[in-house]
Amino acid sequence: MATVETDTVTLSINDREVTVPKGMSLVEAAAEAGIEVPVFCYEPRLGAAVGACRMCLVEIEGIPKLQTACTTPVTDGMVVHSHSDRAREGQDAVLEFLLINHPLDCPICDKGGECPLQDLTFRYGPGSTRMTLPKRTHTKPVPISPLIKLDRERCILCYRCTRFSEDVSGDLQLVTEHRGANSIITTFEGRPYDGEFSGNVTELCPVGALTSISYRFRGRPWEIQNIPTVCGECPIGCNTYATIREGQVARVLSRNNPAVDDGWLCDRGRYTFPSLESEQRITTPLIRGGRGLEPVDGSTALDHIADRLRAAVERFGPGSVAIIASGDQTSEEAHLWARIQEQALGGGPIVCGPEGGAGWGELAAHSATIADLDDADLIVVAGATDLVHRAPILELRIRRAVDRGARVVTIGAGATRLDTLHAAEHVSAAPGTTHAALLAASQGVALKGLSDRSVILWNGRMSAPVATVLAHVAHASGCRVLPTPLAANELGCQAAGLGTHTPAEALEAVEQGRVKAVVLLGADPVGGWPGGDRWRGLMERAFFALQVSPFQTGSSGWATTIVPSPMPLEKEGTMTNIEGRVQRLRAAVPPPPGVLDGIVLAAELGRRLGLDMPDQPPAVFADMAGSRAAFAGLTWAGIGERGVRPEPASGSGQAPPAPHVAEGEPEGTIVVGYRQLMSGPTVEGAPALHFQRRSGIEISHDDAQQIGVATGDRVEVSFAGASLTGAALVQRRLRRGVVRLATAVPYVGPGELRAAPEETADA
Amino acid sequence: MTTDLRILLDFDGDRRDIGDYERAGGYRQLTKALAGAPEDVIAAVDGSGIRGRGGAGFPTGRKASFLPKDRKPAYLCVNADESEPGTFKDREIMLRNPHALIEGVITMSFGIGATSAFIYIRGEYRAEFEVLMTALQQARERGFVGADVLGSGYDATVVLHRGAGAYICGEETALLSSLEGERGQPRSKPPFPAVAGLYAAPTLVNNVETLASVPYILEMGGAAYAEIGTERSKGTRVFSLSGNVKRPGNYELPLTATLRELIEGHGGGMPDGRTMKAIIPGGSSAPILMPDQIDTHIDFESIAAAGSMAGSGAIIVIDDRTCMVQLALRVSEFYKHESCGKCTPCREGTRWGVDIIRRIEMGEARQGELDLLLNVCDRILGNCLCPLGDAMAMPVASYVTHFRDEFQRHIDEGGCPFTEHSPISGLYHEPAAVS
Amino acid sequence: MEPSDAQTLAGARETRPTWPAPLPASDDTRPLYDRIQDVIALYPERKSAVVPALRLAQDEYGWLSEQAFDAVADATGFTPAFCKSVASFYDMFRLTPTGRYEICVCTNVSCALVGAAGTMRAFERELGIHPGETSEDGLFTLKTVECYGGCGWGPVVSVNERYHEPLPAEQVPELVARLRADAEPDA
Ligand SMILES: Cc1cc2nc3c(=O)[nH]c(=O)nc-3n(C[C@H](O)[C@H](O)[C@H](O)COP(=O)(O)O)c2cc1C
Ligand code: SF4
Ligand code: FES
Repeated sequence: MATVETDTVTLSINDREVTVPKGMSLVEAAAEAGIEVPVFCYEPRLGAAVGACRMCLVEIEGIPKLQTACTTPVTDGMVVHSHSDRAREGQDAVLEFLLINHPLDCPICDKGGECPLQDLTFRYGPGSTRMTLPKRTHTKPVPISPLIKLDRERCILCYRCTRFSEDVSGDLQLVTEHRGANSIITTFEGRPYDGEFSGNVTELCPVGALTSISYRFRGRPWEIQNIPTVCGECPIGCNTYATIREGQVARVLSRNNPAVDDGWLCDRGRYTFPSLESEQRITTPLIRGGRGLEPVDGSTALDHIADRLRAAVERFGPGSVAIIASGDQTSEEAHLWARIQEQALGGGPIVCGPEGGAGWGELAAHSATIADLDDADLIVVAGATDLVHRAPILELRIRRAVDRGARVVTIGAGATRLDTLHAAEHVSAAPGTTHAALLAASQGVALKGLSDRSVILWNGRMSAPVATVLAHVAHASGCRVLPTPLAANELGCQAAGLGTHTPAEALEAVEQGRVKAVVLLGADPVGGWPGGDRWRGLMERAFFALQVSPFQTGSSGWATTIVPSPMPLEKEGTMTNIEGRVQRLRAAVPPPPGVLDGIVLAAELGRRLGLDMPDQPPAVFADMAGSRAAFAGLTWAGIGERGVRPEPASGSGQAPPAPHVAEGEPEGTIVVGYRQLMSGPTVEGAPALHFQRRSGIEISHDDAQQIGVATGDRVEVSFAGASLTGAALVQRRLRRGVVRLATAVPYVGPGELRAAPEETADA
Repeated sequence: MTTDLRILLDFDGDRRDIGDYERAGGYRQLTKALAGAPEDVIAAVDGSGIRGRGGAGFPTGRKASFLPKDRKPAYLCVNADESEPGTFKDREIMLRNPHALIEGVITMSFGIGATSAFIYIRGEYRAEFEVLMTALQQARERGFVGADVLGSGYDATVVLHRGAGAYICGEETALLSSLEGERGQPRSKPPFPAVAGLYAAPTLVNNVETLASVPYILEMGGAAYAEIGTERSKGTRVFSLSGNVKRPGNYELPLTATLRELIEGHGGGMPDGRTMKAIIPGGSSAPILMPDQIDTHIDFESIAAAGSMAGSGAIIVIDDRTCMVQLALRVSEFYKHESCGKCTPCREGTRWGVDIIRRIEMGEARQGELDLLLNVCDRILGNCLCPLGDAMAMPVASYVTHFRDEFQRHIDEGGCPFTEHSPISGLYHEPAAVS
Repeated sequence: MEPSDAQTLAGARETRPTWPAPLPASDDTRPLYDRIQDVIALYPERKSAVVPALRLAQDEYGWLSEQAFDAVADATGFTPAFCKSVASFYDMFRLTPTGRYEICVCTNVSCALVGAAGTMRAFERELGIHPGETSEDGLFTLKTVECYGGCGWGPVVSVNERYHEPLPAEQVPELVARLRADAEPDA
C-alpha cells in the first residue's frame, strides 16, 4: 500500500473524497466517485481529451475560470464542484449554445431515446428558449457513403467522427471543412467515405447526425433487443451486439472488449448482416437426381448422407472420405464433424482452409495476445499486403501503439498503410521470401531491439518453413508472435480436430486414389482455393460430394448433395480467435426455416452413423473439453461475456531447429493475388458494402515507367495460366517487380505484366 | 531617462542589408553569446524583465526557463503572425530591421538549446517574407545561420514558414497546430508548449518584437534594460497607432509614457477639430477606454488598472462621428469570422452575438435584446478553449457598458441614428451602385 | 501638445518603411511533385509541408481545384480530404476560380475608420462586381479581407498579394485602369 500511495492523489468532488491514480482526468475521477460530469467530445478511445465541446465545465476552488473536467488532470487536495451554481451556469451556457442550432426533430430521429444531447437537455438544459437567430440550415441527410448518412443540422461539431478518421483509423477521409460557425463535417468533393472502419463513426456520434443507412427509421430504441455475440467474419472475433427488431437483425454494434476490439468494428463485421437474407442462401437440402438438384426435407437428406457415407467407407475402405472445411465453423460443429471422421469414417484427411494449418502447433508457446500490442515497444508486421485484409481491427491497435511511441517495422512488398505511419521503418522483401527477410532482419540491424517486449505479426500464409522461422526468432529473442489465420475460427477448428491435413496432402491422397468421397464444410475449393481444377476433378469423380454451406458457391455445381447451414448470427457455440481466446456466439435470430442448426445436423448425422453425440451446445462443449487437449479444463459457463484465453501450452524450452531458408531473391515479376477484406459470400450478400472493394492492379513506379503506363491506364497480368486486364494503380512505395491485386483465389508466384494492347483497352 | 538608447527602430531608413546591420553593431551579441554559456543568454533576458510583446505580456526569461533542459529535440517558434486588428509593428521591424530578429532568434535558440527555429509569418505579409528570406540568405552566407555557427559547434536551422490567412494562428498553440500542417486550431493546455509543443517537443513561442529586442538587451545588459520603464513593465515597446489621428504609425516608447503623449504628442491628436469618443488601447480585443482616461500610462499594469489590457500594443483612436454599434458589429464580425470552430461557446456565441448586434444596428432588435447580448457575452467569457471568444465578448460588453444609451437608441428608434456621419456606415448601409 | 523632451526618443517618430522590390518569380520549372518533395525535406514531419504544398499547387493551377487537391495529396501522402480540410481553414486558399487580379480590400476597424468603405465602393463601381464576385472578363475578383496589418497606413488594399497602402477611394479608378492596361497584351 505504501508504495502505491505516492502514485495516487486525493481530492474532493462535490464534497465526496476520492483517491485516484495520478494523471487521471477529473472526468474519470468523478466517475470513480460516482459522479457523472456531462460530456460530448470526451471519448478516451479517441486519444487525449481535446476540451472542444466545453460541456464538462466544472468549478475548481482557487481557479477563477471554470475548467473542463476532461482535460484537467487531478492534483492532490483539489476541491471540485460539478453541481455548484457557477458550474451549472457554465454547463447550461454550453448546452444553450449547442441547442441554438439543433433542430427539434427528436421524434423522428434514430438517436431518439439513446441520445446524450437529448438526455442532457432534459437534465441540465434551459427550460425555455431565448433563441433569436435563425437556425443554421443544411440539406437534410446527405449520404456520405452507401452506408452512412450525415444530417448536418443535427451535428454539434464535437469532432468525435473526424478525430476517429484522423487519429484512430488514420483514413483521413471524414474531415472538417471551413472554420468557425461555417465548419461542416464532410468527405472530399462528395466522394464516399471509403474506409474499412467507417461505421464506427455512427456509434461515436453523440447525436443523430451520423447514422447507418441500413438502420435509419428501422427501430426505436424501446422496440429492440440487443443480443451480445461475437463477429464471425474474421479471426479477431470482435465482440458485438446484434440489435433485433421484429425477429430480424437490424444492426450490429460493438460491445467493447478492451482485450480484443476496444469497441471498434470493421465495416465487414458491422454491415454484412443483410447477407442473412441474401438470395444466394441455400434454404433447403438438395439432392442431385435425374433432373438436377431437387429439394428434400431435412431427415431425408440426413438419411441419404448417412447412407452414402457408409457406402463410401464400405466400398472404398476407411479413410476414403475427405472433409474440406472453411474454418468458419464453430468449434462445436468442428468437434462433431471431426468425431464423425475419426470414429465413423475411418479417419480420412481433414483440411481446414486453403492455407491448411501447418505449423500452428509449433508456435503456440510463443503466442502473443492482442493486448500485448499495447505494451510492445517494437511491432513487426511481416507480409506482402495490408494487414486489414486478414486482421482488420489490429491495424487500429498498431496505430495507437505508434502514437504511444512504439516502433513499427514492416517487412514486405511495401505500399501498405502501416508503411506510411510516422514511426514506421520498412524492410523490403520479395513476396514469398518474407520469412527469409524476417530471419535476416532479426539477425541484423533492422530488428535490433527485438525482445520480450516485441510482437511479430505474421500477416500471411502459415506454412512449415514460416513457422520454423517464427519459432526460431521468438526463441532467440523472447518476442511473441501473432500469426493471422485466414478463417474466423481456424484455430478453434484445428483445436477441435478439424484440420489434420494440408490441402496438398489431401490432394495427394485424392490423386493416389485413396479418397473417393468428399464433404465440403463451408469451403469452396473449386471457386476460391489454389488448385481449383484439381479440386474440381475430385468432385467430378467423387462417389459422393456433399456441400454443407449457407451459400451457393463455385463448388455447388459439382456437389451431389447440398445441405444448408446457418450463419454465425444464427449460431450458438464458441470460436477461438487469433490469440486463442475462446468466445461465445449467441444466436441472435433463428436460421431460416429449412436450415438445420449446425450442431444438430452433425449430431443427427453422427447418430445415423452409430455415434452417440450430444446435440446441445453446452453438452458438445463439455464433450469437446473432455477429449481435446486445447479445451481441457474449460467450461461452457466459464467462458463468460468476454471469453477466456487458456494459457497456451508452454513449449519444450528447447531451441527449435535452425531454419533453412533458400537464399537469393526471385527474378522477374511476382504476382500477389490476395483475398481482400470486402470479398466472400457475406459481402456479396451486402451490396451496400461493394463500393469499398479495392480494384485496380497495383504496380510499382519503376515498373510503370518501364512499360510506359500511369495510374488508370490498362495493364495485363498473366499468372497461374490465366490473364487479367485492369486499370493500373501506380504505387510509389511498392517494391519493384511486384504486381498486387485482389483475387478470388490467393496466389503468390511468378507472372508477367504488360501494358494492355490497344484492342483490349475497353475490355 | 537617457536619450541615446539603442533600440529597435532607432534609425532612419532600413537595415535590410546585412552590411548596414553589422556596421550598426549587429551580430556582435550573437558572437559574444556563442562564446559563452547558453544560460547566460537566458539570465540576461530574465534580468532585463522584458515581457512578451505578443499580447499576453508574460515575462520572457521565465517562459524560457520552463523548458526542460537537455530534452531533444526542442524548438523555438517565432510568432510573426501579427493579426490583431490595429497591430502593425512586427511588420515594420521585419521590414526595417530583419537582422535584429534573426540575431535574436539564433541567440535565443542557442540559449534554450533549440535544435531548430521556425518563423511563422502570416501569409499576407509577402513583402516581409521576402525581406526575411533575403536576410536569412545573407546571414547564412556570413555564417550566422546554418551548421556550426561561427565555429561554435552550434547548428542553427531556421525555417521560414508562411501562414495562409487565419488570425487564430497567432495564438501560440494554434500556431503550433498550423505549423504541424493541421488546421490552425488551439489545443487545450496543459500540456504547455514548453513541455509538449511543436511535434510534441519542448517549444518556446515568442513574438517578433520580443526576440528582436534580445540583441539590444544583451548589448545593454539586462540590468540596464530593466532601468527603462516601470517597476513591472520594462524597456521600450513599439506602439501601433491608428484610427482617427493625424499621424498614425509605429512609435517606440519607453513603458513610462502615457496615452496622451502617444496620441496627442506623437500622433498629433485628432484630425480636423474632431473630438475623441473612445480609445482602444491594446488591439481590437481590448475593452475601450474613455477620453477622460487619456492620461493612463501605457505600461501593462496601468492599462489593466484602467479596465482594459495592453494586449498587442495597438492603439486605435475612435472619433466622435463613429457609431458604437457599428464598431461593435465590425469588431464582433471579425472574431466570428476568425473563430476556429473548435469549441462551442466561441463558435456559436460569436455567431449569436453578431446576429444580435446586426439586428440592433439595422433597427430590428426587440427590447431586452441588449441584455441578451450582454448575457451571451457573459456566457462566452471564460468558457472557451482559448482567449478568442473573450476577445469578442470583452470589447463588445465594454461598448455596451460605456455607450448603453447609444445602443438603446438604435432599438428605440428602430435604426441607426448615425448612418450619415459614422465612418464605418458605408460598410453596412450605403447601397452599392454596381452597373 | 508636443512631446516632452524626455519622450523624444529617436525611435519615436513616424518611421514608415519603404517597400522592397518584389523578389523575382521562381524559375523552378520542375514538376509540382518534385518541388513539393523539396518542401517536405525542410520539416521534421511531412505534414508540415501541406500548407506550403497547397500554396505551390494554387500558384500552379490558379485555384485549388479537385485536380489540385489530388496532386497535393499524391505528393504529400495525405488524402485529398485532409488537404482540403486544411486549405478551407485558411482565408488565402482559393476554393473557386479567381480572376487574374485578386483585389482584397481590408475593412477591419482601423481601415474602416479612415475610409475603407469608400474604397470598397469605388472598386464595386469600377469593376461592376460585389465582393466575392469575379468580373465577366475573368480579369478581377473582388474580396473584403480582415486586418492586413497596415492599420496606420489605411485603407489597405492588396492586388495579387502586393499591398497598396493607403489606397483611398479617389485612387481606385487610376489603379484599375492601370491593371486593365497591363492585362491588355494578353487579353
Ligand atoms: C487569439 C490570439 C491571437 C494572438 N495573436 C498573436 C499574434 O498575432 N502575434 C503574437 O505575437 N502573439 C499573438 N498572441 C499571443 C500568443 O499566444 C503568445 O502569447 C505570444 O506569441 C507569446 O510571445 P511573447 O511572450 O513574446 O509575447 C495571440 C493570442 C491569442 C489568444
Ligand atoms: S457528425 Fe456527430 S460525431 Fe461528427 S462532429 Fe457532428 S455531432 Fe460530432
Ligand atoms: S467533454 Fe470536456 S470539453 Fe467536451
